Amino acid sequence: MTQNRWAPEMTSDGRDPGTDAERPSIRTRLLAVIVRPTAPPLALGVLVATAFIVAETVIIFVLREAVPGGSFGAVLLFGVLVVSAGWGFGLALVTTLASALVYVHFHIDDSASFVPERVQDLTAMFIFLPLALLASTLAGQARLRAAEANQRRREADLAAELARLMLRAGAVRPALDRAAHRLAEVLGLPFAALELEAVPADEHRSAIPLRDGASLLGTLLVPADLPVSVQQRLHQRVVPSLEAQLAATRDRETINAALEESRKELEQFAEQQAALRRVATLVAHGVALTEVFSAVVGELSRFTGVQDGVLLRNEPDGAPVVVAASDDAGDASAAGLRAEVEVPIVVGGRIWGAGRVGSPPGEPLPTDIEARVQDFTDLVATAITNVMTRAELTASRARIVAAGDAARRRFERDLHDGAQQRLVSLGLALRAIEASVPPEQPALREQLSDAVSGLVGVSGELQEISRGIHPAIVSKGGVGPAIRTLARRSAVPVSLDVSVGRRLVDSAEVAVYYVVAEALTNAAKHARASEVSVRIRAEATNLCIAIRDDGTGGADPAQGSGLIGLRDRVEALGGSMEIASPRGRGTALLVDIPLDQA
Amino acid sequence: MVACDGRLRNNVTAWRKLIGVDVSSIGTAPLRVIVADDDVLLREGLSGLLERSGFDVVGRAGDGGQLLTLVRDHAPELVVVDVRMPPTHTTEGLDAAKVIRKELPDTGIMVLSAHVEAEHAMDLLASGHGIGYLLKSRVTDVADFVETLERVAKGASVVDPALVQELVSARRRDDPLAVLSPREREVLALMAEGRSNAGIGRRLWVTEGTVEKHVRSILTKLDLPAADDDHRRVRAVITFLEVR
Repeated sequence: MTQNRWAPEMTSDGRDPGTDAERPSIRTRLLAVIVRPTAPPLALGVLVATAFIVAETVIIFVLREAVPGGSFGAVLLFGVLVVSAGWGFGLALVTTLASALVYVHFHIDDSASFVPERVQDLTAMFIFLPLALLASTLAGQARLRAAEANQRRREADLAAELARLMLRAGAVRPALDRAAHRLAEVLGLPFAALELEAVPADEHRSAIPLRDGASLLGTLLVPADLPVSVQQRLHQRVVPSLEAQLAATRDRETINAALEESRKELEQFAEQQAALRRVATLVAHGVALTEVFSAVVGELSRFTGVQDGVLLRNEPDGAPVVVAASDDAGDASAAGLRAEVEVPIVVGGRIWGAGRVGSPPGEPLPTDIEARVQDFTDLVATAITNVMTRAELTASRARIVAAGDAARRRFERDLHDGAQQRLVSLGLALRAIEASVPPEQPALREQLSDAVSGLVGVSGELQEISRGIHPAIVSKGGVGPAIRTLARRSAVPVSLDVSVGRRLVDSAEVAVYYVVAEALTNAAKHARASEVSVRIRAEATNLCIAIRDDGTGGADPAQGSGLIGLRDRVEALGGSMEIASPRGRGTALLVDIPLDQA
Repeated sequence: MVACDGRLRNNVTAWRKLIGVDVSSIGTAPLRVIVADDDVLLREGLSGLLERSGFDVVGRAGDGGQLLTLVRDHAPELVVVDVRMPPTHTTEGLDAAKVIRKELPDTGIMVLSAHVEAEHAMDLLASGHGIGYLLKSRVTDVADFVETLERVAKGASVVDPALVQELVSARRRDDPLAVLSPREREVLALMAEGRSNAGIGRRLWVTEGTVEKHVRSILTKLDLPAADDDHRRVRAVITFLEVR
């Protein structure tokens, strides 16, 4: 039987959000006292009924004394109402009958008899009785409805509380336990338990399965000997909401798991992209290939589930050479078959080499490893292509400059050896003719002599032209004599400090000559300097030229092609040129040309 | 004394030198010269010019080896040689000159070059007197060329005026030549060319005495030693001009 006790839910009834907590609670408390879902003890009911009847009898006596001839049957209704509001229909009926008897007694003047005899007495009885019964029925119904409403409200609160418990809890098991405990508390069960799988009933417990459509969510275990009404209530009202909550909890779990999965994937993806970006930055900055290789094997070694990342370069005549290897070389002696994947590095349509990773012994490789290694080998291919392109560019610039110089040298030699030489011979031939002219023809002699002078003049001009085309003195004597001659011919005094103890490669010597020549020309033409200092040093691996003048400065390579041409020539040799020319403070030209070790 | 056989003539000449007789004063014995140049046209043109001018061209060579052979055979008074000859076309002429210097030091050597360079001039001057270093194009200036050849054959040293001009007009800060007057600079240049005082006088249309005065002044101002012969003077001046 359900326990009849003062349920603490009373207090929760009083809570009415939004209004003053005190007043409604007194009012509703009063109502609650009268209209109770569970009946107080029967003994108390009998006592109350008796007390009421006695009290009503006394009141009617008094009233009859005060107002003779009045009918006060209505007073008896009071007790009937109270009893039927507070207790069950049975007690209410008895009270009604007792009240009716009292009523009749008062109506019958004969105070000894309690049985109505006169018609008006009977009529009064027949009016009073149904009225009393109706009143008691209505009160009883009201009580039942109130009880019902209260119950539903408690169940609704329970459902809300269970929802809060289960949907906001982190771990499912403790939440289920708390929910079952709460359920038992609210419904007044001795115990209740919630399980996530199918649990069979036994002699102490009955098992109510909780389903979501066709799938089983769990089982609700309750005492086996519950009254039917409670069981009905469980099935009709508690179980559906439990099922909904369990389904929601399960869905929430599923979603969380999927989110976690997806977050992990995203994290992995971000890490991959970061790794690629690190390497791509190196490639874009044009760092040395060895650095790129090291970075790539470093990133490969960070892949989970692989080891022994290496980069290989094909050799034309033999086995591929390892150009970089990661440090995480696994224990080679560990037992178990290993898988390897090798991705080719394709440069310029040919296979330059490959990137390879292996799996730990006895384990497979991750499924997408080939694509991921390929991302990196693509970057390696790009880096190699960049380096090759730059090298080709430098080489082709050097070739262009060298070709130009060779052409000029040939031209100068042809001019000089060919034309100039012939001019001199021609002059000699004319002299021979002149000598054979008879003395009577001085005019003819003179003409011939003028012709020879003309030829000499042409020869001199050719000399100047050919010096501009190519300084033969450089080929013949090297840097020292060439620069000294330039210094002598310079319009601005030059202080020389040349220490080049050996012949250098042609392109370098010619470059030195043109640099100094251009600088001296500029110093005279534009800078209006009073002195130029030229310092040339040939060290083991570099040639350093420093030319300073004390002129007006303001030299700008962008204006006037002389300096740009110099820079092109110097850079084609792999060297560098710096100009510092602040206005009014002179010009300094610094050139550094690498020399191959002979 | 008229000997047609080159060898006999050579011996006579050598003997005359030995007893200190000025060769040029021996009547009209033409100076014997060997011409060395790999360019046939030039070689023939030079030879023709020399012969017309009263030289006796006793040999023509196309490279350094041939030249040395001919020189050893004929012992000429003068050799006219191109700087660039086969096989390398670089400085064969200079090398041959050095050899001739060693073996026959009294042979005058005229070195012709398409470009004149101070380094070569100093090398040649260092090898002894009777050395000439001229631009090839000077040969068409016949009278001067011939006179220069005769001087070189007699032991004077000559440097092409163009090279001298380059050396003299090189600009220097605190130029030591700044202390010279323009006239003195002219005299200095002619000294560097290897002319004697008399020659300088003729060039400048002044007396030899005036030239001597200028020369003394120059040597003092530039702190150069007085040279007892023209060759040493040329060498001193050229050296001075080159290193300043």
